[in-house]
Amino acid sequence: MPFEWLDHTSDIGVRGIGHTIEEAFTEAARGMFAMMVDLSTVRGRKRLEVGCQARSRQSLLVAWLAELLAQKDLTYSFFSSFTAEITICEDGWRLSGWCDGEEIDPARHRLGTEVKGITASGLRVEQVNGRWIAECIVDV
Amino acid sequence: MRRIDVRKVDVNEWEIPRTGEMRVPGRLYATERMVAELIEETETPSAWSALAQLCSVAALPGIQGTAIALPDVHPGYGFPIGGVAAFDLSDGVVVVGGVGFDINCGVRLLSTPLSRKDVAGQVKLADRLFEKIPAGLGSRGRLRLRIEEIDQLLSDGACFVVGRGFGTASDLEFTESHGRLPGADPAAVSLRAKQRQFQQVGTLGSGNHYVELQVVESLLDPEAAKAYGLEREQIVVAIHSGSRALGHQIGQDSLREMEEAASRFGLPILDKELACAPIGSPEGRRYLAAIACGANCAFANRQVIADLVRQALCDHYTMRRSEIRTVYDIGHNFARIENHVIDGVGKKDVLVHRKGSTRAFGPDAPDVPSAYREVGHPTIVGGTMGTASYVMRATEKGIERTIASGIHGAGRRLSRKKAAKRFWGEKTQQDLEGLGILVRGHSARGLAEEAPLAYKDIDEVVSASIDAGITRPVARLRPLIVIKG
Repeated sequence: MPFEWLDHTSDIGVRGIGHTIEEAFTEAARGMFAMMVDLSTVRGRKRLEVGCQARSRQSLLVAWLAELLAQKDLTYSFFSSFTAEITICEDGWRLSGWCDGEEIDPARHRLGTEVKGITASGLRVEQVNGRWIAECIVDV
Repeated sequence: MRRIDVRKVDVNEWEIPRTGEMRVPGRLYATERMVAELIEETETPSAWSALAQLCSVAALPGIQGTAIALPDVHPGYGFPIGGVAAFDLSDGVVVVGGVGFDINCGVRLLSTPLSRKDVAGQVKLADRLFEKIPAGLGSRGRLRLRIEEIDQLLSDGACFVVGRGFGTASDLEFTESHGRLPGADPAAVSLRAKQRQFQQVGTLGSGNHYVELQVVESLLDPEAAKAYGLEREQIVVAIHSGSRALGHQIGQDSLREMEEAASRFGLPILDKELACAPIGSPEGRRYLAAIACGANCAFANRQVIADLVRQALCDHYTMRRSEIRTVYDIGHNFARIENHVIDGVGKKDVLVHRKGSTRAFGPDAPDVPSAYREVGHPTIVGGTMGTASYVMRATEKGIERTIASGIHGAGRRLSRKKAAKRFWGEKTQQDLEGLGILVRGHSARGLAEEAPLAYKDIDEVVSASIDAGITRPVARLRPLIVIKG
């Protein structure tokens, strides 16, 4: 399973799983957007370049998801497909990539629950049995 | 496995003695059954524990008196929801998790001249409200602002939107801090936060936010009910919403900044999730100025929604807008400086965090509307789509023992994931309709996540608080029409 949701009494956790750290990050992004909208109803009609930077891989996951969440409002769009490249830089870790999606259409998109923020709770970015896992709790 | 020693000190009042790095004891208000559940949570290896979080808060620098958990306590991120903690202004900290992402999320209660028979089963009214109130993901508010107008809104809160025709001066009189918190500095808020808000002023949001038409089912304190203008069988409107994307972005920006500050100041923090900064540091001061903006945004948001509800009701019934009055508007996610007696000795200024709890000020406190001077301001406890809500008020014991705080809601029992698996949105809607509650929502999954059984029993939570003597019930309300995001 490429992403899954995790139990948390008040909020919800999202876990991205992949063969590479990039895949785990992009799956976590899909997992987050899947809370807000049925991804099968979102078409890839526009592409947005996104980038972020952080001191640790864990903080990079928070920064990445927070960037995408902000772009949802700034561009009034849902995204369903993501590409990321993660590199080590002078101050830590850098992610550059893009996301594909389209303008929000409440009449056509099957809506879920809005994510308010990406917490630093339950943060985990690590390799387990040859697979990368990227997970955190998001506030809904 | 964590072991937390919880000792009974009075009816529904428990103490967690100071141990290890705790600077103050913890105090918990709960029934024996709730305590057993909370202890079980601490002993479950992978579970989040509200009591463990309370102990970590009790270890933060400058904490005063006790770290408090009210009966609706459940795990948050770092700081428990239903938690209250006050900090000394000179050596204390301000904690991001003690406010959360939805800054000044709260409830506004409106009274109306309508009674149950006017509203029960009014499908057209439910549809009209659903159409009128922007709710759910992607909804856009009716008030569109330019960047400099956003700054005015952040400074002036509900006053700004009242100036634009959304409501009256009377609404402001019955809003906590007149809907305009001092100390709000728009320069402390990022451009991104403001840009995210352009379309979201006057939108309800999703998740547990709602507009509900409720009937006053019973009056439990006739004197206070009279002061608040509540009568049996009367229809009231409860609006639960917050600071929308602006607050969310302030929270996100601050989390990163405060994590760095906590490490730079070498703050001894047990739980890394408790990102915080000294209150007097540049980061701490900036955060307080930013969350005051977030709070003002939330007041403005609920003010606009209240006015939309007024419009919808006046379109549906023959009545004047002035007949729909704000009973009170109170937040339940905030940190602010207040003057309190700590440990029974002299009053002092402290920074009080209330995460998932409200202020509960008595008759003598400042910032209580003159009409409520005899009884103190009301607190509003929000239930679920299918259960009661309550209007309550402070008691002397509560003011002394809980830093003048009150419960805010039922608190979740089941995770959203479990609720969505167990319940079905359409079925939940039908079941509620069978109980005489009309539900309109933009998301079937959202309705399943919000199913009444996903929450604790509100009557038990309220009883726990009443039996502990920390709050008094004034009125019990029951939903008839529910609008969800």
